[in-house]
Amino acid sequence: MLVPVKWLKEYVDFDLTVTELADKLVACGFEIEEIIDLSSKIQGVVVGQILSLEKHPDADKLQICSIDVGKDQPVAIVTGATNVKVGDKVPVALDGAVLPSGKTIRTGALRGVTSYGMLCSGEELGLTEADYRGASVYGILILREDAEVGKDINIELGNDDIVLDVAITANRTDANSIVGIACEVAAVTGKPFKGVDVGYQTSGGNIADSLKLENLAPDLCPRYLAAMVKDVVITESPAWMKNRLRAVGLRPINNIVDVTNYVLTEIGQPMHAFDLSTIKGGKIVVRRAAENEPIVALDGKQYLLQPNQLAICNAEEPMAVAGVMGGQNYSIFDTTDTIVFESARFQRNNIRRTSRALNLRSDSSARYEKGIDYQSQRTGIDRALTLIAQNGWGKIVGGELDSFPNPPKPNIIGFTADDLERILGVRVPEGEILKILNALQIATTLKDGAFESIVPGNREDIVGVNDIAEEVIRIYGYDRIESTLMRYGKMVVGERSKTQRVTDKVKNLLVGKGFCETVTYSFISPKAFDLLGLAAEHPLRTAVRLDNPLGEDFSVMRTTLIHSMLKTLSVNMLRSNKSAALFEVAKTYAPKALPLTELPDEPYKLCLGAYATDFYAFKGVAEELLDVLRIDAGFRPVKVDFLHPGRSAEIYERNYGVVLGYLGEVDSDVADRYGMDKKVYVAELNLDLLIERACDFDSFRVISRYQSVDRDLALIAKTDVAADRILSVIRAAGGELLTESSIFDVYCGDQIEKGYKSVAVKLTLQSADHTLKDAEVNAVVDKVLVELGLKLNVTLR
Amino acid sequence: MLNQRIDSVKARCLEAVSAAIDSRQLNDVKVRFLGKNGEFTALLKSLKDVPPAEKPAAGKLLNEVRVMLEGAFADAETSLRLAEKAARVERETLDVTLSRYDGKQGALHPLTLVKNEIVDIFLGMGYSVVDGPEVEYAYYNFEALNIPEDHPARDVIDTFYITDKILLRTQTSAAQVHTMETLKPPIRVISPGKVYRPDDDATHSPMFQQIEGLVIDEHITLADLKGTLDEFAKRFFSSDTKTRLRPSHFPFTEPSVEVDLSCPMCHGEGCRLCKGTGWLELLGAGIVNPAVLEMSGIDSKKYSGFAFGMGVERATMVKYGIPDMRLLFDNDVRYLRQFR
Repeated sequence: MLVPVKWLKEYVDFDLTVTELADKLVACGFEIEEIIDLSSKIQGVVVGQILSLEKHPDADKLQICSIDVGKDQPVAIVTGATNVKVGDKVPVALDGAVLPSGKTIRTGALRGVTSYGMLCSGEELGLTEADYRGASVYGILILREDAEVGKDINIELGNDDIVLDVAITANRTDANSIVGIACEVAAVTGKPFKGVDVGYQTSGGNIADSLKLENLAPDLCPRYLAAMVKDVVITESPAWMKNRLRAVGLRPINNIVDVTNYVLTEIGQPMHAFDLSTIKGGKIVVRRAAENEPIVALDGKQYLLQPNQLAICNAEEPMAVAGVMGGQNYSIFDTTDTIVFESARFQRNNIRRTSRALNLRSDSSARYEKGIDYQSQRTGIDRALTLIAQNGWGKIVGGELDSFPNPPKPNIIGFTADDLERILGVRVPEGEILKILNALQIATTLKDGAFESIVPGNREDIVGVNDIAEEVIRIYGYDRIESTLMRYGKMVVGERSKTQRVTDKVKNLLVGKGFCETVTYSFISPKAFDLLGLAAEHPLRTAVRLDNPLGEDFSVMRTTLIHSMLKTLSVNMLRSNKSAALFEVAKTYAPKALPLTELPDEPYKLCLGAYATDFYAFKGVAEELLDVLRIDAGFRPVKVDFLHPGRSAEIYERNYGVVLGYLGEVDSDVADRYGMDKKVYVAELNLDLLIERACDFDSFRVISRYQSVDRDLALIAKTDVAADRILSVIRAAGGELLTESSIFDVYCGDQIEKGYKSVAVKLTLQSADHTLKDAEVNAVVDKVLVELGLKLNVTLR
Repeated sequence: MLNQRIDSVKARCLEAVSAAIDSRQLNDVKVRFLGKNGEFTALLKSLKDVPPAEKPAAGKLLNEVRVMLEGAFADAETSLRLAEKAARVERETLDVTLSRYDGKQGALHPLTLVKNEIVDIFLGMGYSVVDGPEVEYAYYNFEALNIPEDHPARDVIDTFYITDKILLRTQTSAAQVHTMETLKPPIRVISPGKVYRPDDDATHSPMFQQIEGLVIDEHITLADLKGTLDEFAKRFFSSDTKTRLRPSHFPFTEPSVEVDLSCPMCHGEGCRLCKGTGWLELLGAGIVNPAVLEMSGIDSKKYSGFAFGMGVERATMVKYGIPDMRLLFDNDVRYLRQFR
């Protein structure tokens, strides 16, 4: 919302600098986006009067002017213009002047004669004819005869105001107007709000004699108010009005259009003017459009309206898309004699949808989308008619047409100072409460400690006591609240859940293993599933799609973190990072059915990825992780679409057989599709399951004080007997004396028969209560060997 | 006769001791002379053949020599061990400026570091952490937060929709409602998590993280909110950080405030980070709208509460001086390793 300070001062006489005003507004809830000094675009240009003109001695087309610029001495300026004569008042850009184009003017010689500046055309000052009469003339801009010599040109152009760009929060629709901001300024400065100047004489007659109103859609148009002006003079608006419109970024057009824009800005009420002669059948019909009902709007384009869109029609056809834009054939013409002003409230959502559907926007639709109140239709139309009457632009016809089937009941809120203190935690004195609310135009009375506030029609945001509390404190001052820490609150215990504890443990372990945490977007490209080479019916392809994604590449909620991990690894590889070990913890999104009718499951996954490592080192990290969480996990070969068929393992929980995830080397074709030429390893684990299975706490175990005994065995096994199976048999056979068992070497080669491998195993035996004797150790080893032979056909080498 | 043999053995033994160049040779010498079958041991054994009258003198002499030889061995052992150790130390001396450390340690993502830090501060104040779904019903993201059907915030340009009724939550406030529906006051929770909005530029990401806080109890006031956020700001930035409340608007709180912090970079003097204002906007907050409490089945006559929400990305950028939000999602290990 652009607020020119001079316009604001018409409504409240404050005595503050612009910066002070801005600070006050910020403190009461209106952020200032920018303070714009309108005169900053044109600097160093003054009004000058031509004292004499003479031909340039060396150039036929140049003249040397002697110009009075209000200083002791006239200045000499060389010009090529031919439209100036002695006595003319002109804009003079002196040495150092800056023009709207950004150009700086300097003293310089033109064909040997020094020119101490430049005379400006309207165009050079960024003006059009509508801004200043004569601005479009080819040549120098000739100023009004009574322009004051030596004055800054911005004053002559009415370009000398300062404008605040005020951000208005969505609840304060009323503040999208000069009057609305003025009320706030009145409240924060303690100066009176002067009220809107409305008052005009009608010239008799009655609008109802020549026009009828039918509101067939009161749901979309809760209020429609119309008034009539005859003997209209279409002319140029006065300078003060044009200056104000320009200051808020609106182009002056003619007095009638300007009045509607003026009221829009000042009161916040969009208005529309129809030419009575075009209202066929003598009636205005507010109705839903027929299907594909055409209208050519003011922008010259044809639009086909639909039954969910509101049209302002005459007896035959739409004259305007309600609240959005008028029809080309129903606007104001130079020949217009009688106009009908519309001042209506349209349903905000309907305007928004219509504007979006037609891709058609206007200042009016923008204002309606913010929402307007019930009060401004009346104020707006009265203000417009007042401006017309005061300027003698037409005669106001008596009466009005008003469709207002359900006027809202005034909201009356009762409360006490205690109520406010319970919300705010600070005691605001009763007198202050009364003063603040009344200054904000919320009529409030106090009787025996009980307040009663009548909420004005333009403050639909005020519903209950909490809203009243906010109104009071934002003027009283948030800085007057003393901090407290739940003075009356109950003691509560804060704690991390098991989920957070285990997640932190996992992350910290991985960091210790040299892994860096990544964060990637939850939405991925649907192409990801093809890049990963997933089979057509793969369950990971069942993914939630966004209806309005930022782009196809961000359109699917990921069902796996692997794609994001591979992309991240690929970026690192492309940027010549020699190694990378990464992990991500994030939700994945698993729909129960598509299209979604209920929320998808959102399992947390843990994804690891690395290059410049090897399979066993990578797997070791996963093993350590599971060990730290005290999950008894096993690994077994598995086929995963995007992993090396011989180097991928499923990770499962041994006791219950639950699958926790998988890991492996990425298939070379898949890696290739991601632009990677090194061996890449990934793992994905279901973190929710890890958290569920993790043993968060384990009690102390006494260690044996007796000597342990190591035995190494060299075994021969068939190549396809997995290490895991050998160890399982050993552990089962070893009983409680076997405290540790591990494979420390696997060898296939010349000395070993083809199809077999040599497996070196280390057994550690220990008793809790005595030193083991050789016989005991041998008995265990013998039993292990017997079992290995029976179950796996594994023998001593 | 015996005396001569003693002198001879003694002389040869001493000579051999001084000739030994390492502990092993010295040990060989010791065995040769003092061992079970050593030369000196043989002399001791021969004492039994000495006539009784000479025995005391011979015995005394033998004993003196034995003590003397043992002393010589001990001295030689000590000096050889010292010399050997000195040699070994010299041999083993390293260039300690060499390094095998490759600097490639792991790191938590800065967003996690900042999130953890914020969570810890609130845990210390008695809050618990709750989670909520990211794919959410429109009801929890909007209606239950007092954002009705025709509210502009629900527009497709501000929200990722999946169906008419299901969307990606645009604010962690959605988790508030779940909390109020499932927990009974007193409630003190924070809810960190990912939220989504269709923006993508240097200061906006379509996916970002928020931390939402909610307190519901009897007699909770705006002053408590101010006190809580004061405390947070002092711990998260520095003890001289000040907070400033400014009126604002959120549909689910009333009164609503923006919370500014005195700029941690310039301490309020005005700098590039705070654009010369001395203040940084970091949080939105307010008193929970009684209508929102009622919708969640909490008696707004008895209970009141406050809620606040902040962007983790923004806090991270401020804390670490990161100029562009997109860098937080770049994931180059050279960035990631900077945060420890």
